[in-house]
Amino acid sequence: MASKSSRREFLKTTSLAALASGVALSAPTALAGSDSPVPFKKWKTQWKLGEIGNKMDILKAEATPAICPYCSMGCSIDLLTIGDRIIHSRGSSDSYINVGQLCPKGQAAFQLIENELRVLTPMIRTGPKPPVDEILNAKTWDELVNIVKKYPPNWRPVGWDEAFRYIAERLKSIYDRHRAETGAPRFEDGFYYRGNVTPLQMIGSSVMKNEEGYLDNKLAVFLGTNNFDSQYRKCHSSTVTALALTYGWGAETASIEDVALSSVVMFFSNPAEAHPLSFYYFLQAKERGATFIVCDPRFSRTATYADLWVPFRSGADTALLYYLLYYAFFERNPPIDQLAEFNDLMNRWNITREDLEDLKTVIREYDVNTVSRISGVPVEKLRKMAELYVENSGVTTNHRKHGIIQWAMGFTQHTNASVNIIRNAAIVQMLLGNVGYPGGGTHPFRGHSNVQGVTDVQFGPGGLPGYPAVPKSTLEIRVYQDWKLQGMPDAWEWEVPQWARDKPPFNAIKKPNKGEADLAKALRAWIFNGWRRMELTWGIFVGTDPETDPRNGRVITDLPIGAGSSETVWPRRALDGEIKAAFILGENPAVTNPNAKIIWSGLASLELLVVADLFETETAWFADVLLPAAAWAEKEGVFTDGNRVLQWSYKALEPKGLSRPDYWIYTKLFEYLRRAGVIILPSELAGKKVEKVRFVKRGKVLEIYDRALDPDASWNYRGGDGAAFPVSPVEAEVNPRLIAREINFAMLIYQGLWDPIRDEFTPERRGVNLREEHEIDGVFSKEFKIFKNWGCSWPKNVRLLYNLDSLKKVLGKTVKIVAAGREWEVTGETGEILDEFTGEYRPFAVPGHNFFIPKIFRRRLSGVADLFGGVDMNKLIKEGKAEVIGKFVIEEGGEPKAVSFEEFVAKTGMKYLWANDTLYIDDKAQEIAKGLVKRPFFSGKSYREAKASIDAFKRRFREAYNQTRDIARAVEAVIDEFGRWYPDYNFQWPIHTEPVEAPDMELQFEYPTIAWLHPHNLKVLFEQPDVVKTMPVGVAHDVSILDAVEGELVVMTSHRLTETFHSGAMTRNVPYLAEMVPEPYVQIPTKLANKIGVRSGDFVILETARGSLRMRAFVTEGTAYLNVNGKELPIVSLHWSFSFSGLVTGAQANFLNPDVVDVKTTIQESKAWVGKIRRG
Amino acid sequence: MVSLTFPRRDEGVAVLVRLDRCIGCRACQVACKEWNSLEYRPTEFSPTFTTPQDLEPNVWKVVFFGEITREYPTGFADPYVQPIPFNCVHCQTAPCARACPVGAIKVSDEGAVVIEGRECIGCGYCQEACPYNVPRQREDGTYTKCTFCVDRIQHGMEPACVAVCPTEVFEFGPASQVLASAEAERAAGKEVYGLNLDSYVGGSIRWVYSISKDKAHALKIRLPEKATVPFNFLREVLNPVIRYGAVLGAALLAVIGVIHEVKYRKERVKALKEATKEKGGKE
Ligand code: SF4
Ligand code: SF4
Ligand code: SF4
Repeated sequence: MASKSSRREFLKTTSLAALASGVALSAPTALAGSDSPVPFKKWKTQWKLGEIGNKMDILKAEATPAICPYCSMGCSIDLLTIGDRIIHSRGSSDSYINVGQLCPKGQAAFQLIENELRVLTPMIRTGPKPPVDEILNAKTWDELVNIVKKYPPNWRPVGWDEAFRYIAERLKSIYDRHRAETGAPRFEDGFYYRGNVTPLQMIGSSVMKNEEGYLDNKLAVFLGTNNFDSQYRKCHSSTVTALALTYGWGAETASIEDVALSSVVMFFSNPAEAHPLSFYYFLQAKERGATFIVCDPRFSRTATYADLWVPFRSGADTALLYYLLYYAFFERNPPIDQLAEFNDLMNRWNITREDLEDLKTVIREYDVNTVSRISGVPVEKLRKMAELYVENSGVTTNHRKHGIIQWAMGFTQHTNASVNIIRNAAIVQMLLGNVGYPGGGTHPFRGHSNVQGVTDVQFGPGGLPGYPAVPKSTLEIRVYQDWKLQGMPDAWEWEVPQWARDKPPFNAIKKPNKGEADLAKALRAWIFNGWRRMELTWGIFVGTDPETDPRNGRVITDLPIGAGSSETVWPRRALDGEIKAAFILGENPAVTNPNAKIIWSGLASLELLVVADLFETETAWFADVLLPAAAWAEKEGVFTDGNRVLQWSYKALEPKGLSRPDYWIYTKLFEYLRRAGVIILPSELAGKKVEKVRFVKRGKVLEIYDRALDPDASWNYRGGDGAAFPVSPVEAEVNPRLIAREINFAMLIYQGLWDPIRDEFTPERRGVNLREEHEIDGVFSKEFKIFKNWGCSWPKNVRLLYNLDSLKKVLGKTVKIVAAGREWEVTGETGEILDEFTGEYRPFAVPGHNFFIPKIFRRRLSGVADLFGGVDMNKLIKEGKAEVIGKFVIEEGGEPKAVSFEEFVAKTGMKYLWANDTLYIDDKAQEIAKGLVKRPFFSGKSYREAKASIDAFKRRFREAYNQTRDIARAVEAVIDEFGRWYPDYNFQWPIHTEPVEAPDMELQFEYPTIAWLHPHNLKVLFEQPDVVKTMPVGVAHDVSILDAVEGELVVMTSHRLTETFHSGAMTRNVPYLAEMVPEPYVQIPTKLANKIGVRSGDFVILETARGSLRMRAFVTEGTAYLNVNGKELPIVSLHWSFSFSGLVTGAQANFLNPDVVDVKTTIQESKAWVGKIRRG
Repeated sequence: MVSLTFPRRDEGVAVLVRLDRCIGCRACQVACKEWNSLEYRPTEFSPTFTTPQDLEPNVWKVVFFGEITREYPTGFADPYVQPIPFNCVHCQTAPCARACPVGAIKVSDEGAVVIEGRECIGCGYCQEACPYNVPRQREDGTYTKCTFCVDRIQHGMEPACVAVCPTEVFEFGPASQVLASAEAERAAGKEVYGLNLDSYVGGSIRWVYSISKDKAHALKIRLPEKATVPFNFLREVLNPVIRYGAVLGAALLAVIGVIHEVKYRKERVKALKEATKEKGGKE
């Protein structure tokens, strides 16, 4: 078992060996220095290692690999330290991801640790906060900054104890009032919190370790709130939802090294800047002859590799994608649906001829001229683009070639991102046969280093760790209790109770009987499985009392009920008084949220704001308490990179000053809030101390075991042994390794990150070998060069999602391997799971794995035992010991009977059932786990059926506007008349819809924005809550509103750079990065610059419905100057990572955009809005 | 003449800078600063995006951005921006080293041209001699520049910027091998810069650039076609005089210095203007 010292020793030796792995030089022959050319002077010919930069003690330094805190590539950085001094940092040469290389942020990341601007002690505000109405009323950026600067926090430094007590006391008073007013958590039908009503908002960053983000969600649940979210909301929430609903999982479908095998890449993003190391692999594709199409209104550094640069209007993405399909179905000869391969694909994702016809009706509307008119891309360029992409795709080449669609915020930040844009990318990839095959796939590149991980462990207001949805009603809890009584079965063994079948959400299950299942039923069983995991690992209760009467018993649930508010919608709730307190750890929404005045006034209106960060960020300016956070390499834990690879990030040095890791802060917060009586669980109030785990078999109640509830024990992360030996005193107090073990059981998708049989954390594996043919996925790993022995990945170490048959399709073979004593035949990548009989690894999904796997699985212990057999979970997590206390139901002589673990093992041989909960995949699971091209997002009809209504609705909208000349009133009239925006249409297929702020009203009427389907957007439209009425924080939903504003009309979008990151807190405060990008700027096309008379470097004024700001112009031909709908339309792009606090500062682009949001996920529309530009 | 001996062009080490691979990320610019512990200095917005706008005493490597129009492989003529990572190119017979009156500029066996700060007297001759305008004066008066990471390459490591580059733009190795790679690039139809230069720099430099033809016109943003400084040959003749302490020589040198300085500055301004004109919207 690896102790701390042996692990360190290993790392040290590997890194030092790597130090001198440079080029072997031939012995120099010219001895230029042997005779000094200058008389009487010693001629220097040799330099000591590190002599120039004064790093001579480098050989005494200890090297520790930590994962880069910036983007999601997952690069390893070796920090060479002596004590708490960093001598040198460089890319870890053993990492297959960055092979010793780094981008400028990774290279400068050490300056996040050694930085004079860091906050090193807890601090309490003594100054008053900026007043809400003053903030809302500011007309310009400078005015706004002057206002808030008048109200500095005037920090008083305090110790941790005082800071925690202060927080507990303040929050107690808010909670006491809330409980008194609402009676929570005591209601007529039971004990629970309404998680959306609890007045606390929690926000956790996406650069936290998994162990930290997980505790954020756990603490939220313990505090009875479902108002929690993380940065992912504002980056890729639309991706996650659109992909999960189409394919099964909301993640990048392939791994980074796989892009090297692509034949064509369509970039709707800028990975050369946002994810520089990905270009190590894109370069390999390029060298193999791949074609790169870069779709971006701005010439980015990604375009340095472009074969075709396609500048287009931001917000026209859906139309652009549709033209690919138009070409494939209507222009190419033969059309793709006449190809044999297309039939196979149809079968794979359940698409009927009928569906295809409906979809084709939509596609037909996007011919080349229409798309050119919407997007501003000339016809010839569109043709070239479609031809290059389609002809290099799987369906047209019989899988000899595959194409990738690559995207990031350019896709995700629109009001129609999930329903139209990303959904369309997913459909294009399916129809063109590009997903689930090497070199193909949908590649959303996640922004932050651990945004995938934090999304997984902290899905946000509607989900729990690992993605199961939060309970939405007490009925769900009752059905869940019934499911428990049935022995926690998989979907096929589960009988949906008669009394729930006609009520939502259970009425969606079309096969409710035992022995059958459909997708809805399988997904529900998976959600229940997730809740059970929470109950067991957290020592809480969710169910009814008594347990045996689910229908009429009292509901008691420690999981709060109801989906809460997200990152983007909570500020207006705060202004309305619904949210009164917030914890924001490691995030800077003051800069990253849209419509700065809304978020600033929201922050200012809180009674209690607690912020933890490295620096005094713009968000911290509004805080009541500022806590000093430890930096990325001052703590340890797991990072999940953008393509789902889990890697261990090691601790290189102790936290500076009083700063502490977030896992420590969350745990201490729990302790203080618990002691102060802020945290009171519903089960406690109900007097529930023990869960009587019972199964009912043929009317007979069988005693399985009594489970003592002990929520406090689950928060005790002290000590640890074996692989979980704490690495230093801070970790001995709160040990992330114990939290990681807990995650292994709490989240099905992460099961496998700890091997409890071998006591091994798989994210610690750093194997750079490809697997051997006889091993699990050996052929796959070898043939497609996938590094399966480095870290692990979810699900079950699968690296390419939906890889059902790539061995068969691409290599033309299936593979037989022997594992866990049996022979398996596989057709694709299968992944691996511990075997319940042997404790060895066996293939997980056989053959390969299809869509939705493994949300859909079989469970051998269905109806037999509790999850993991009823093991003492706390003991297993904390001590690594498996002690099974639950009983097992077997049939003996036709009678059900509960027996002990030992007896059960003697009979069945499932000795290791506590390690994997006996999950497996079979043909039944494969069958319903197919992808779904057909996927309604709203209630309503298919496109052809709804067409008449849609047309009528559009006509009415135009008419109402013509009558009133007021969009808000026109929207109101339409909704009144039709009952809904976009009546009758279920958005099964995407359609192009305009941004809320369309540059052309003709287009707005032809393709009305989808936004008004979401209540938050209506709040914005109708200026709610009342405090914002008449304030300059609304939308230019009618572009003529800007007629009175001086300047040229432009579409505005935003970007960031290689050297900057997100809010800029992590780059503007890093000297080496600040030196390269000292100021924000707006990139404008030369033609526009000439028109308004500015040269590169001059100031311009940008004005929108929210106000105006002054910024320097960067003038270049590399910015789109388009012809849209017959009119000239320039695009300008603002560099957005700036604001008023830090080493370098500047105007904040998000001051200018509106806070309207995506209709499914509430991600903000910050990539397409309108305004005027003039000389400044 | 000074008895400076330079390793032959196929001896020592060299670097091939394959510009077609460069994504302009500027990791090399940062890695250089990190390894050499160069301090941060506030900068200003740059209208060309190149920041700082040229080398500085605390910035030994700068990535230049050159905007051009080019024909893409798909046939469309569109704007394009070529990043050009630039540092001292380590001339074959380094004029700076030849110009240094006190021998403070060393040439290592590997071919690295290194200014020894402790020996530098701050005369600035190296800067004037340099056809690439590389050496920069620190606040303490001494001159400084890229050292080819001599304190790494002599210990079996690549230069810091070479090691960090995510797209392996730099091929570093024995000069003979790098020359062969450069020739191979040329044979493959690429433009190669740095192997057929003026005798002033010894005919070649150790940091050689390659770029595909359709983008080659971007090179002039920072790499002059003629690698020479016309007036400097005179100084070269007189240099030995000062080395042996002749007062007259010093006076003469000073005069030449002034004449040269004026012309040199003029040329620099002109070159800079031309470079920025490449950017849209200027003038
Ligand atoms: S920011 Fe991304 S690409 Fe750059 S070093 Fe870090 S992980 Fe790698
Ligand atoms: S590190 Fe490499 S890719 Fe980045 S700017 Fe330097 S040479 Fe170009
Ligand atoms: S580029 Fe200039 S500084 Fe570098 S070796 Fe040549 S002359 Fe000397």
